[in-house]
Amino acid sequence: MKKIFLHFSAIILFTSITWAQYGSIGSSDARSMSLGNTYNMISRGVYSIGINPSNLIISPDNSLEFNTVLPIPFLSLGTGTNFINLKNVNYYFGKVNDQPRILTENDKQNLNSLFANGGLVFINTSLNLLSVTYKADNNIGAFGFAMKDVLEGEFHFPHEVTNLLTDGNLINHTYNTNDAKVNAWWIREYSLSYARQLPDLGLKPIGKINVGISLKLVNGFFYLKNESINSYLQTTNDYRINLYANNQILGAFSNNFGFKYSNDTTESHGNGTPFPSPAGTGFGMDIGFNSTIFKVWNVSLALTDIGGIHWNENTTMITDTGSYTINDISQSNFLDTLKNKFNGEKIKTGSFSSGLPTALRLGVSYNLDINHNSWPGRFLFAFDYNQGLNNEPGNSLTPRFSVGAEWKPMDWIPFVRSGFSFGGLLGFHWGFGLGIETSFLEFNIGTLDLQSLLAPNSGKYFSVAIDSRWMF
Amino acid sequence: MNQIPERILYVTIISLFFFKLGCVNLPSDLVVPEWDTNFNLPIVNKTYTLNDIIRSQDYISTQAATNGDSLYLIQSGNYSISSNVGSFVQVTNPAYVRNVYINAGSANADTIYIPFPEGAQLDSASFISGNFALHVSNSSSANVNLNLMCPGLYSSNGSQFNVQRYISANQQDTAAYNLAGYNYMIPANQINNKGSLQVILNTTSSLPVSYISLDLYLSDFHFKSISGIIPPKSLGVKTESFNLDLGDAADFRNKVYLQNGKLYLNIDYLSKYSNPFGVEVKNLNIIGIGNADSLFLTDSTGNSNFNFKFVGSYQKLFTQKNSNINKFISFFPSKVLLSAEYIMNPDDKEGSASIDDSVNFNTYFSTTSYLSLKTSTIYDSTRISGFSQDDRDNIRKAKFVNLSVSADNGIPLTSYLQITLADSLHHRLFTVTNNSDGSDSLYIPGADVDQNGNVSSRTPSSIIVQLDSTEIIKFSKAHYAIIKVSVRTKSAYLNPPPVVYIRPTDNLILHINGQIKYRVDLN
Repeated sequence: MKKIFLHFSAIILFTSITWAQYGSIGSSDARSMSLGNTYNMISRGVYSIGINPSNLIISPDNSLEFNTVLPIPFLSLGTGTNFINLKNVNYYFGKVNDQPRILTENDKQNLNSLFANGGLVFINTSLNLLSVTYKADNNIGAFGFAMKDVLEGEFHFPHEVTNLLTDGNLINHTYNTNDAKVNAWWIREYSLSYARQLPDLGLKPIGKINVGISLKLVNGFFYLKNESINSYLQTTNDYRINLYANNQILGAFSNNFGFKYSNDTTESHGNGTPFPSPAGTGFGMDIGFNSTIFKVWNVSLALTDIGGIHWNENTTMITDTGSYTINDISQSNFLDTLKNKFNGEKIKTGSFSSGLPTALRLGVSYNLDINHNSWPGRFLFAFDYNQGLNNEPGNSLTPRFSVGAEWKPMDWIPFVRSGFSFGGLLGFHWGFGLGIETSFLEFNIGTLDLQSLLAPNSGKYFSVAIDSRWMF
Repeated sequence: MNQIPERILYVTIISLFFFKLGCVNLPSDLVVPEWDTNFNLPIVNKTYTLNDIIRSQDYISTQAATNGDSLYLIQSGNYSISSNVGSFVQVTNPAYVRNVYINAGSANADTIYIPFPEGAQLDSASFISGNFALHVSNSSSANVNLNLMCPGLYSSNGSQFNVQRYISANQQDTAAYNLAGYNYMIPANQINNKGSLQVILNTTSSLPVSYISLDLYLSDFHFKSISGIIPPKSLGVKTESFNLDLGDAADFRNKVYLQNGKLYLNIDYLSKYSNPFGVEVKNLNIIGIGNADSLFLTDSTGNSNFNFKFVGSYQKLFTQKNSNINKFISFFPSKVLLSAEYIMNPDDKEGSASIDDSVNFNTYFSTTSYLSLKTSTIYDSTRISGFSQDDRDNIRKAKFVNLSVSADNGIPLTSYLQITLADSLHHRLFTVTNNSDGSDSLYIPGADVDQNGNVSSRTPSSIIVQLDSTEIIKFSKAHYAIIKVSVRTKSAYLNPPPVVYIRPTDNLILHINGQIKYRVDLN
């Protein structure tokens, strides 16, 4: 129990989140993050890959872009959960008179109430190894290549477990863990993108339509997803403790991870390598369009990550099933029986497929400065609707809406950006950021959680992103 | 121109950013808080049936009753003792005919009959041994040849018993023969005279008239088998005993008052023949021997001498109606002594017997579950295996420990429960009690019974014992709970005590639950 609690606490407190440009709820670059994760119609060049490949064509003719670790790496970091903020962390995990805090009954109630909506913990990490785009012209089109790693995980800590920890096993009570969830993978994606402008179809008020497509080769290194988690601990009036578990987690692991099935008695050792052999391979595709309406409204529509991964190495169903009643701790072999019954057996299973985090992306933007010459500087307003079409890592079936705006009043003033995001897995976020643009290099800094920056002790999420882009 | 304000702006923004970050109250030294929590756990959850209390073993079993229920049956082993009747199949006193005068010069054969010893009448017999003797006196002046033949006596090879004697003139002759190995079958012409041995004499002499005198003796007949009549014969008073091994049932000596006791006495005359002789048993005493005293089984009048005759077999059932068997069984004798005089063929009738015949006493007793129990105690040591070392550490830090002991008594026996916790080496730690009078047993009243002794309702009872700080530390070291249950029926010390009807399915359900409030310290 102690270990579980410590591990859980560590996850809560030290989880670092790098928002992935993946699925409906992932974020991307610093600019998009500043705009409340609004990116569908405003992403350009290397930032378009994975969002809407047709946006590649919007870059100037004969332009080359790339981003890499220099001068500033494409980095996006964050930490947080959906249940505890820094103030609470300080309160519960800070010292009192150099001693651990001793929780009162009210403290315990408040701690439990923090988990009322479940204990969600995110791990979304992506590393853009290399992104390159080149636009020749509207007729030849634009080309892009990207290689990135995505490590995503979503864990839901069951609410009732906190009650069990703080209040003990109350009599005549059932502690469900049905709200527990695990959904994680590590994949590496290689994508080739192409975009061009279609001939004018004369569909006024719609302007010329740009179309883009990305084809992806995806290697998966591990996959974990719960098929079912249905467990409970039930105490009865006569102090009996009923344990029931029917948990099944589907998984696949690279040969380099030293995975072993439960009935495998052979020695197996993993080896750390940045290029492990894949546990699954798949193909994906992004397709997108953009155009203008009434010449002033820019509209983007994309369907991303169509496809799937076929997992065929070390595929397993991690299974905990059974029931056990503790009638009497004097029962002989009681502990051994309990351990044997719920030991998470890793059973070999056949190959299986998972989807990519397919998402429908709709975006609208409006350039105020272009349409209203009197407006000082450059002003962009954008709206996004992102709808995940499955529950694969990085995706959410809950629709996410966002609005954002950026303004550069004068040349010597940087881009000032802000936006809001609603829905998705995490709900409301307020983004803010700045951008500096030179003739060949762009720097961006932003956060998706301005509220945490303004009142850091109350924020549950902390995020900051920086990146740079070379433009020629 | 614009570079100066631009730089100022950037510096200001970055400064504000870090200034704001400086306001973040980052925890420098995280520690897991501590809190009090309750841990409720079942420590002991046991159902003690009477099979547990009246330890089921070889001599205590259950017996189906007519109502589909079952009764306890305390049953002894099957004890068998036998008395050989070899002394019966022998007639040893001498029998004879004397001064039989025969004219040896006559050409005719003479037939004479010698009575069998002791008046026995034989249809057939097989001899182990026997004495046939003769004395011949030849008072004539001629020599005599005597040929003596017994038509009923045959050797094992089928040849008749035949004796040739030569007696010189004016001489005497004496001879004795052992009949060992001979068989006897009554001659066909002697069917109405079974009590004598037929002897045919042929003599020759040189003179036409020459008398001889004969004396013929029979004695010491030891038969291997016999058919016919052997006169009534007392085999004397014989005493046999057997040790009564009742196993743990003996624990109930002086504790229970049993009812429905039964003692089965089966006596069999064991013989290979279908027409055995009758047997009379005179003054049979059945005596229970205890540690320091003894008890006679008596009939309902108090008479301890039992007399009876039988042919073949005899059964006697001693019940509480015709004997003091309840008292006798409740005495739980360690040894039972049988003493009696056996009289064979008391009515002087025909029969068959062999040297291997015996009178076999077979006895066992039982009693069913109407009992009055004075005090019976069981001990049960149950291992508390569910505590990990972490749990024990937490218990040690417990603020309080409440042990809830509840019992649901479906046995019509008043129980006294004593729970002693012991460490891993079975060393006593402390006894769980909430009694202020210093006693350490928990009183659990027996189930209510109706006027017939049947359970009418179970009796629940419960107590809560709060452990003090010393006991909490000892509790953390507990590896075993030694449970002692003493039971007795109500008013068991009255004479006679009231009895209750108990069944093996009667049970005492015992729950011991612990509520531990302790400080969670994960640091």
